[in-house]
Amino acid sequence: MRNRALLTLALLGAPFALPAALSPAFAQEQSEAAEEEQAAPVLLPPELLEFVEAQYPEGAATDGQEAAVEMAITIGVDGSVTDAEVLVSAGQAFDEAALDAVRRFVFRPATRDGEPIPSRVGYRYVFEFQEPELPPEPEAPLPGMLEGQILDQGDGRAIARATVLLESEDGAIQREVIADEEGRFSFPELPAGSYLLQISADEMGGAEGLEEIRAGEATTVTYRLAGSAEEDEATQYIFGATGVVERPPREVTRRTIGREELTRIPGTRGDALRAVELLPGVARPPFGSGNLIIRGSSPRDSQTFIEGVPVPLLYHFGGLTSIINSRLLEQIDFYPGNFSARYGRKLGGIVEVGLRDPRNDGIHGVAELSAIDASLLAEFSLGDNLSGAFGFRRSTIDFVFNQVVPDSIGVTAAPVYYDYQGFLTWRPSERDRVRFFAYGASDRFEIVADDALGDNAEIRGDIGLTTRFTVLNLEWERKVDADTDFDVSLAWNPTNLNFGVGDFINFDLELHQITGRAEVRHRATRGVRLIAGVDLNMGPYELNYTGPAPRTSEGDGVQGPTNIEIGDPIRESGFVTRPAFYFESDMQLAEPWKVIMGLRLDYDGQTEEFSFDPRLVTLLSVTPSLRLKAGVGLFSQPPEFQESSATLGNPNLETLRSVHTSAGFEYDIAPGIEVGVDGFYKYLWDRVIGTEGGLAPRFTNGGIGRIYGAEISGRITPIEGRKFFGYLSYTLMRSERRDREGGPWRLFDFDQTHILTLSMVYKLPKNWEIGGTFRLVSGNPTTPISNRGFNANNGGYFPLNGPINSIRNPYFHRLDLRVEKQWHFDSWKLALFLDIQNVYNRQNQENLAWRFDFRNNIPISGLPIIPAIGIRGEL
Amino acid sequence: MRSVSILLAALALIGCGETLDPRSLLTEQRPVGVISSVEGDPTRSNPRPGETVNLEWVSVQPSGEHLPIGWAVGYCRPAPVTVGFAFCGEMPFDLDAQPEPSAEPPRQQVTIPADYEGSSLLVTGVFCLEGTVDLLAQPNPEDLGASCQSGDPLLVTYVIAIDHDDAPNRIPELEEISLRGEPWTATAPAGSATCEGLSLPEFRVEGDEEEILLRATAASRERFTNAEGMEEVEDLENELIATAGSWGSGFVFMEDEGVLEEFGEWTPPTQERLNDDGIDIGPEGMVVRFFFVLRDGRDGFAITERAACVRTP
Repeated sequence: MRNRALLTLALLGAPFALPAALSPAFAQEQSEAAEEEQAAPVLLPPELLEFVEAQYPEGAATDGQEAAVEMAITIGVDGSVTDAEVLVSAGQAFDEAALDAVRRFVFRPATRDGEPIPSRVGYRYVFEFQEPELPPEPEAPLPGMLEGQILDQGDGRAIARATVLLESEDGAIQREVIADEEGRFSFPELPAGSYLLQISADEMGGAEGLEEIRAGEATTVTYRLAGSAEEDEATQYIFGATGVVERPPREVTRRTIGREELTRIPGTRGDALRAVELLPGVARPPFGSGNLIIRGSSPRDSQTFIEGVPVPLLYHFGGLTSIINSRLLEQIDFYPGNFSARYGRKLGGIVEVGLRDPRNDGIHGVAELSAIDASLLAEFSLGDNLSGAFGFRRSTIDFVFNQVVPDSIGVTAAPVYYDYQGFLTWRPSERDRVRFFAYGASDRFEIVADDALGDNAEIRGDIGLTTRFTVLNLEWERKVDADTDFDVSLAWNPTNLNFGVGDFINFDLELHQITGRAEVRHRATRGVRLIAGVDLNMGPYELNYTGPAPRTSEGDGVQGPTNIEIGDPIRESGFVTRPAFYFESDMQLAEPWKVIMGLRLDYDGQTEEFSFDPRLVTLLSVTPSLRLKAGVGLFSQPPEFQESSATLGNPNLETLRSVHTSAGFEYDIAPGIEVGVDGFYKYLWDRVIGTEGGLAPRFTNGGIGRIYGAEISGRITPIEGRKFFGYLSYTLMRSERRDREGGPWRLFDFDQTHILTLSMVYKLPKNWEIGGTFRLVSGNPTTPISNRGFNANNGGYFPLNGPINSIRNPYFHRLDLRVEKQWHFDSWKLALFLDIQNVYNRQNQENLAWRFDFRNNIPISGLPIIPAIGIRGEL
Repeated sequence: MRSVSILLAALALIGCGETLDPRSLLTEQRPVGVISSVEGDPTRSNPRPGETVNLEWVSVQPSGEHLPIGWAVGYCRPAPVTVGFAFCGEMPFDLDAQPEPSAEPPRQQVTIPADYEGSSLLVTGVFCLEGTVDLLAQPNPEDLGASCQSGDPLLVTYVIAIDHDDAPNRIPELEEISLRGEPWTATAPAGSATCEGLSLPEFRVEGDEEEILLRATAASRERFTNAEGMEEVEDLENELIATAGSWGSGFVFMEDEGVLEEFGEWTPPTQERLNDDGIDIGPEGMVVRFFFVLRDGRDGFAITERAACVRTP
């Protein structure tokens, strides 16, 4: 049974202020209003923005009754309904249903000379009974939709009345619409496929572009016209489409978090990059590590890129906050495996962060303050073709840190971090876009301990950690013609990493990384696209190191603090040379079947080895709403610096290798609602393992690994008119390693059998928004201690490990909530938010702390409940 | 990133409510080191090839009474490990054992082969606290073929540096321990739990922190040539242990040029902690034993015991 409500809206009279009618302030306002009458104030009535459908009274629906309720509604200055009363009743059931619905309406408030004022309007709610609609044919394919807006490239104003032509790739579908006064246009009910979009706007010229429409999804585009009809080039496509126009698939699985969702997911404190941790295939990182653990791969096997440049650090202080302001992000693409030949030197997964262009329609800004940090972001236009943005963030946690840490620990600089961003976008012509990014981060932490810290005599003196890096990246994109485009970028990335524990450990690495990339894309025929690229990574480094010999990055079991020897100081410098070439062909073999073949050739100067990685991905659209996908490919990764270093490790190590296989499907249940299942298997060989006791050559390529599992994902995207969005992901996985030939398989340090994440955000009336994220994850494996030992030389104890990673921590579960309230003013917005992590204060065991003699232990729990209140202003 | 994890884990520990007893609090018998002295020259810790060295494994006990230990150790050239604990690189050339538990501290006498070319010698084996050692017929380099048939097992290692360069290391010594400006010499007989009949310095439960002066002999900080061929002066590490109360830090160091004195800061126990431990101090007071362990980082080891009385206010 369905019902539909019809409504009419009629002004009872001029707006007037109800709540204050009896107050002196109201009298004052009345007086002022009278004075202003002579100046003929401009009064605008309220406008209904959010309609809420009333619940059809149950009995009435059965009987097919119809009715109308007339009411008076009072609307506050914020657009919310502050009061509603029935003027003409239609019976109690209808009255209550109508009042309940009306009280949840949201209006644009009435205004007097542009100032919002309270108002009262009459409202007639009509209950009209309709026969229930028949459910849609189950076999009917879900239509897609294309909608967009046409803007002036210079000042960003809307271009009205442009002619918009849409033609399907096979020419079977041709439609034409005229854009409205705001430059908006829409093509509903489109079958999935590729379409040529042509825009013509008289003196403003035109543009055209190829758009992909997916079943059940609304694709939104923005076209910016240069306004120079005299030049032929102005009629060409320009770089105006926003990132919601997805790039063609080059991978089996790509998961994208769009800009709309980036900062609204609970548990991330509005930090977009933290949202990556919630995606299928991503394991929960241990507290404080900030690791990205993708499909059972070691954290060092995965890489985050920002506009194609690998960044040395993704989060401040092991996961506290990411190093780039989320509001500068366009989208985040996540490739858990079988990624494109564009990416290499990694065996795990890839996170590609796309940055958006600064706005060029005036000056905009966002300021935010919370108990963790404070940030400022400004965007500005510097003429018709040039716009810029800068941002800065600094921690505030250090201001309260000393109140938390006991006086006995002399903390002189408790965690201090900052990051900065400066972007410029220049459009010298309709075909070109030049972008410059400068960003960086600094993290510093220091404890001064004159005496030994804890039970270890060796660990005393200053304990310090400093990480600093800057990226300067220049990028040029050019549309050569309708079928060819290319981009080239060059980045310089000076990085300094320093870690010290008194005289015990000192690690100081100075690295100047130069990253270059050039890629050409050409559509050879209607169904074949070719991509070729160069990917360069090189630069000098200098390392000073004193401390124990480096160990393998995982699988070491419980470590004792006293069973390590400090080697001689090491000073090493050199030059990293890692060029790569890649080629991809993207072929539409038949209408529903696409095959992407990729080849990548890498050279690593440190191991002096070439690696050749062929990759294959195939996509099959069984129906417009059902897509099958599969992929297989080889992946290579150079050993870590310390492993192949001549002074710290074994310079004869070889490249680590892996084969990825995966297959799955995606199914569009309804517009903006998608489910998917992916199965995967990865095999690793030539893994670097440590020798027993660290004996020469310290590291060898003797390890192998296998990872297999399945990911189930559900996603509801925040499309127009939907008040909620969310994610559901579940991963079932096993990740194992074998460290010796013929030895036993053991679990990977971060093997998590079950990873369940549910995240939902709901937009409430009156600009309230509430969301929650719940995670349930298997505990990480740990190593039992079978016995203990005593080192009489220093009086310390050491553990004797049982089978590595043969037991597990208890299950992890946590609920995070976020509530935000916004106030909208004429030219700016104010938001107040509360982000609560670990709402029910679950004591999740992350590890065990052992007594100095390894006889007793206590659990180390992760973060307790952390409520963070923040305020944000947006201009 | 591992370093970051360690750092954050350390912070987590600092901040967490539940704690583990520190190394500076003695609640049960445990070994603290080995007194190594060359036969015929007991002030020297490192033997030359062909010399005999006497080893005494020193344990500290809350009651002062040594619990019986069964033990077995072997002597071998250590594997050249850089990580993990020391183990034999080849078969032990000799073995010693006291399979049945004995209240005497484990003692060994080992003669370094005259043709021994290694820079160090490893003594490793198993201690079975209040238990018996099970010895296999065939020893092996990993565990000597010894294990505990009963009792609380503990693998032990001690690496003796061999003096090939005629550069002897002298055993360090504490010259004086002072409390409240007066030399502190009082000790308590083994087994004494109360202060009855003893003349000991007095402290009060919930009392303020007290400074204890430690002074080493001038000869304790020797000059030596390090592995890089540079001449330097030994640093002295003082490990502070007590059977009750708490130390400001479990270690104090004499490492600046010419420094032979340092202060340990000890605070008497709180009533809350005594209640948690189920200790009820009667009118006769409670004996607290203090152990001052001195290490010179080159196998020089010494231990000094003192006692005090803690009474309720």
